[in-house]
Amino acid sequence: MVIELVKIKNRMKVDLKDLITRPLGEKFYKEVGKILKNASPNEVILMNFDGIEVADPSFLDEFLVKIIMDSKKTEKTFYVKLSNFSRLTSLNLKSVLDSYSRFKNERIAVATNQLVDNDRYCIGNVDNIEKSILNYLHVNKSGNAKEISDYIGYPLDETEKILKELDTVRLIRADESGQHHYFGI
Amino acid sequence: MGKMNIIQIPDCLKDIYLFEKFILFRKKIFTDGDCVLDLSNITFIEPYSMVGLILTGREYLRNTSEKITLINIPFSVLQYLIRMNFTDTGIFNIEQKIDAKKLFKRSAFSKKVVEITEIPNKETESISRISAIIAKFRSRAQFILKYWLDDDITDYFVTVISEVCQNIFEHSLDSGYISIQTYEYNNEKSVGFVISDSGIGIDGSFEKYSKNQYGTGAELIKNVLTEPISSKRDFGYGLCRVSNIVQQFKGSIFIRSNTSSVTMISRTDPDKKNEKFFFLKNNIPEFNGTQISIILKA
Repeated sequence: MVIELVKIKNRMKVDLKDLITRPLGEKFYKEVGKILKNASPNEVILMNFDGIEVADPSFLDEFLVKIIMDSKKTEKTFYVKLSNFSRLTSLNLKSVLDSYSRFKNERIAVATNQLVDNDRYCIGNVDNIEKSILNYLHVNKSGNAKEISDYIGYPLDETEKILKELDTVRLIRADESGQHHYFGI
Repeated sequence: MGKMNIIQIPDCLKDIYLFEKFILFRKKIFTDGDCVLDLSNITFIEPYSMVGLILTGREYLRNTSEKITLINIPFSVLQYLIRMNFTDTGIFNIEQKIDAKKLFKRSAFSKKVVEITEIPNKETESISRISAIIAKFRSRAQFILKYWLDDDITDYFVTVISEVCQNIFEHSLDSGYISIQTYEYNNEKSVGFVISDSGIGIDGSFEKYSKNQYGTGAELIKNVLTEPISSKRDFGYGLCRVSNIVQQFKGSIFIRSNTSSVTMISRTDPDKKNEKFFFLKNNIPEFNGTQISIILKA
């Protein structure tokens, strides 16, 4: 499912090219929440920022952080991926996610379809091994634990732990059949 | 008109630190009599002092139902005040006029400024005003930020304006003002972002927290600039993110709140590390609310 943020912005009659303020973030969260009710289980939701110049930290906290947290709820999981966002939006989001992780002591990150600073396909804290896995799955679209273990040069059992963790954070998607197969978001 | 209380203001409106001298006159301003400020000594007014003057005038109007009268305003200063819409605020009595031909041209001059604009303390109105300010800033940014070369600088300062202005309706419990201007003084080019209110101040906003948690006065102001703390939520992002952006552009932030102030200056050390330095002051003369000045020098 693709969510075009600019269309929601236009529906709400927001003239600005930027998404700013907490109250607007709350409105977006409610609006997008209605759309997400129609998502299939484990569906990838592409948040398209095309046409948006800057999303400020307050907006992102009220809107995107809540959507990312909702994606982890067990009753209906989904995956979020961001596209066509500006550099400033990614920097603002990184500052928000870093603060969230620090104060809540909980890992939070989001997949992206474009490389962001530090050459990775996600925003949030990932280490170099995780970054390699994400890059591998971005290029190859999918892979099993053995292939990925060979690629990163880690033992299979440790690789599987990392893959499970990345799935929990919603940066990759595990095969529901339990075949140790993983997909890029 | 009752007894006139004429106060001669020294040339203290040209710099954020000199404005402290003006604050010392506040006691005299609020004593009995119709206040008249003689501005004949003023050579230059920068945006922070201009907004500080407005906050003082508004407080006087609220307390006495009377307006402060400004007299003997030097021609160039009055030209500037008119251009910045200072005279349209309706807060002061100003009888001096300037021939329409001698006013600053709006078309040319307007590219370097965002005029004084009130930010209401009501959420809906405030958001619509902040959006209008950002739209105006975006349309003029290539002139306002002409001396600062960075592809993303406009987007960075959209974040700064948005985050700081939101604090007014979120925390201050009062309306405030914003003004932006690129100016040259003593052969130095600067851009100043001023966002000020006369609300409850940062201490007031954090009143429910114990002093041990985040500190008080200047220590608390420093903490909101360096840590993602919030008086309303588990954590916040606004001023902390703003200070990181200002540091990135090697600018400075001055925050004054009630009787405390903090100056943050960014400097690149010999190892090319960009560091922040803080200067804290407590027990300075009372000025209600929170006044923020962000300055980048070219």
